[in-house]
Amino acid sequence: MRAALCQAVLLLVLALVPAAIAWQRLPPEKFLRPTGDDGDTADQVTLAQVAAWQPAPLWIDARTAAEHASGHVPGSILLNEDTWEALLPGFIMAWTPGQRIVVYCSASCAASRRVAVRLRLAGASEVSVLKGGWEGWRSAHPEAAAR
Amino acid sequence: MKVLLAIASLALAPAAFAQLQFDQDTVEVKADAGAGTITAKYPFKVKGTEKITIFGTETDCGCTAATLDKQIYSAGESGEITINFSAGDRIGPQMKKIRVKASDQGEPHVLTFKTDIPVFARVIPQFVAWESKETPTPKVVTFELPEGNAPIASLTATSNHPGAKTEVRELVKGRRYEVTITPTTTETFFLATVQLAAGMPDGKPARTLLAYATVKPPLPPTPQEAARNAALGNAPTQTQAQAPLEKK
Repeated sequence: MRAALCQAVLLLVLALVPAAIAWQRLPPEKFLRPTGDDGDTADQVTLAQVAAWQPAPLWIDARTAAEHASGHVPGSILLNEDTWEALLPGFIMAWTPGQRIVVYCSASCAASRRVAVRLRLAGASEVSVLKGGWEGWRSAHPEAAAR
Repeated sequence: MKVLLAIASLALAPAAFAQLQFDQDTVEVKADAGAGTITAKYPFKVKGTEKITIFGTETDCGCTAATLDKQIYSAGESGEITINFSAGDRIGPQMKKIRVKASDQGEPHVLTFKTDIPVFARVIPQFVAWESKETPTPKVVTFELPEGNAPIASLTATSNHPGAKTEVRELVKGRRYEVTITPTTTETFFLATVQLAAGMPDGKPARTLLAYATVKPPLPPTPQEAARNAALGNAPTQTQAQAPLEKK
């Protein structure tokens, strides 16, 4: 009985050796993905907050044109850093001075934050970033996203 | 005891597997203003005694593409992953992640690409707006060269719409300018493009940046405001809010 217990302890110790090596070489934080929630969260808004806004905000899709074409928040305007100069007039045409702006991208990208910063520099105020991004909106509106 | 030793060697076996070892996980590339595509290379070597299969790469931005010469690398063999970053209209510091899935470990290797895309000049704000029927007061756009950029010879501002008048004033010789934009009227909606042409010294071609001026309808009232207006007998008309925007 005692020998079996000793062997079990020894096996446990031996199993911990490769685990420790793996942990040291490949710490879990190495695999954390950057998300739209990274960094400063002061300008982030939730879907519930946006839903309460009157008048309705202008939605800005900061993803690529292909992603926008495959599905987007209804009424959203495509504005990304790939073709900022070409897309900016479209934003100005759609926006009303004083209207709140909500920028979103994929939940695993940081483009919405960058576009929000550039919009503020360009002259817009009241610019927020959607928490959870496009995936969050799609989960909350499965019927609209399926269209 | 023999069984114990056999189990122990099996437990230790994964540590002896091949390892994809990159010279550096992070590569920083210096970029020029207006850079189209920026390339970075990540050399690696297969350490250990086993071959490695690279199953694929994944980037966190459609602007970054990763390529490699082949998928299977023998023990001791070297190779490299090439990253092409399309700058587009991006400016400022950029950091992109590239995940490399290979047979040497369950989780992907994570590479980082960094660059800082300089701007030729900053135009702040890039657009100015007036609500319809607002007093047509002048609004100012600043054109400024960042530190390190050579001064320009001149700056001209040209509006493509007669409703927006422009005037340029030099604040710091060759470096900082104030462009005043004044709408002739705010009775009609329009969107004007203002070309800011920087004359370069030594006869180099001029560089152009864009600013915009627009007269827009005001925001519709909130339900509370509408109810209050109705109670006061000031219901707003819908005609102006529905009028189309004239774009030049």
